[in-house]
Amino acid sequence: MNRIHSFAKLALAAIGIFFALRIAPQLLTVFMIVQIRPSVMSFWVAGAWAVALCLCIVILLYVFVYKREQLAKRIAGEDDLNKQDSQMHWLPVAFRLVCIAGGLYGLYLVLFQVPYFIIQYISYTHSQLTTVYGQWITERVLSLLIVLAIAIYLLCGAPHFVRWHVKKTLEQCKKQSEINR
Amino acid sequence: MTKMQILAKSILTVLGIHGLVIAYGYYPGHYVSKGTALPVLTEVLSLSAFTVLAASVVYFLVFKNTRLSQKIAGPGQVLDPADARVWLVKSLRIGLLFTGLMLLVGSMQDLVKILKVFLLIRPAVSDIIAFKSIPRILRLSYPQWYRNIYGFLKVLLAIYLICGAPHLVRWQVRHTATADSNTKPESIPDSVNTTSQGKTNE
Repeated sequence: MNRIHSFAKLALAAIGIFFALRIAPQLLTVFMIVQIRPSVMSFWVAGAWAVALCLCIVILLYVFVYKREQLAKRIAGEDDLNKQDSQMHWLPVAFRLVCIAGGLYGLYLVLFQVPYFIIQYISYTHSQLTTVYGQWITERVLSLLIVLAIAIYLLCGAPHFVRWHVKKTLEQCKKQSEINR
Repeated sequence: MTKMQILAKSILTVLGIHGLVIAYGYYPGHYVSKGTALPVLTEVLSLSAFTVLAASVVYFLVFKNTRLSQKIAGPGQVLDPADARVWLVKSLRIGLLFTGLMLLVGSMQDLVKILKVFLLIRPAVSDIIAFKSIPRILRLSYPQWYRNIYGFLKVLLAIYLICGAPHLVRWQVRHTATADSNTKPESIPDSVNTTSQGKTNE
């Protein structure tokens, strides 16, 4: 295990715990959903939402804290664990970690908005939803779907994006070194 | 500059940019409703005062951060200028990418609005030409205009930061090199240096 691997492990655990702590207070929205219109349907919706949130937190902690060793190996590269730390090696690792943090932030924003939509859905009638709030809700849902897509791509490590960034950064570093000479 | 000073410099730059965006997001004018809006002059004056305050904070965090970063990081082993440049480029790009991603993900609704404007701009222009009246999408109150312009600029900034903000990074590197050559760097005393090197060798 080299320094990059240890750093990746530490960063992953920190990112996982941070976002789990940010998502946990969302569990309080479950009571809000039931309170706004107490009915069997809202009770079921609130229950499903609570289960989904708990699952998210458990998965987050499992992947980022309990299984962080495997994830760090995937990020830092298993073959290079015994090699010397080089700038060429840590740069993509840092970019990948940044992408993962960005992806989790996107996922957090999506989770933050979902109870809001549920409350909107159960508080307004069908005609209100299709006329007054229809267009507004469509915009919000569309933006959330885009965020979700970006978040999933970033959580997968954003390979193309990271490769492009590493290439551009190294080019800029090379130029700067040449200027110095 | 030392590695820690470079890191502090990058973090200060990132914080300055992020702080500026957040500060304008919380600017009170944005929450004022149409009926209770302040007179135009008061609004302009308060926005100018706010801009001066925000600009001064950004000036010290983004543009004149060398001395502050030296104070934060303290003395250390001074890097070779070429290495320092490379370190600064890398740390700045990583930090700016992080800020850019945060801003873009947080302003996705504004991005959808911009896309919507592109779709509705043609009928709006036709309305202006044919009926000589301002279309409904342009009839907005001051807070709505503020919110939309802020959102548009935020999206632009986020995209620029995600692209690595090449001009800003280049400027920072050049500016740091000039500041470095003008000021004598703070370095650790020789005795400490020798001790730490001795320990590393052991």
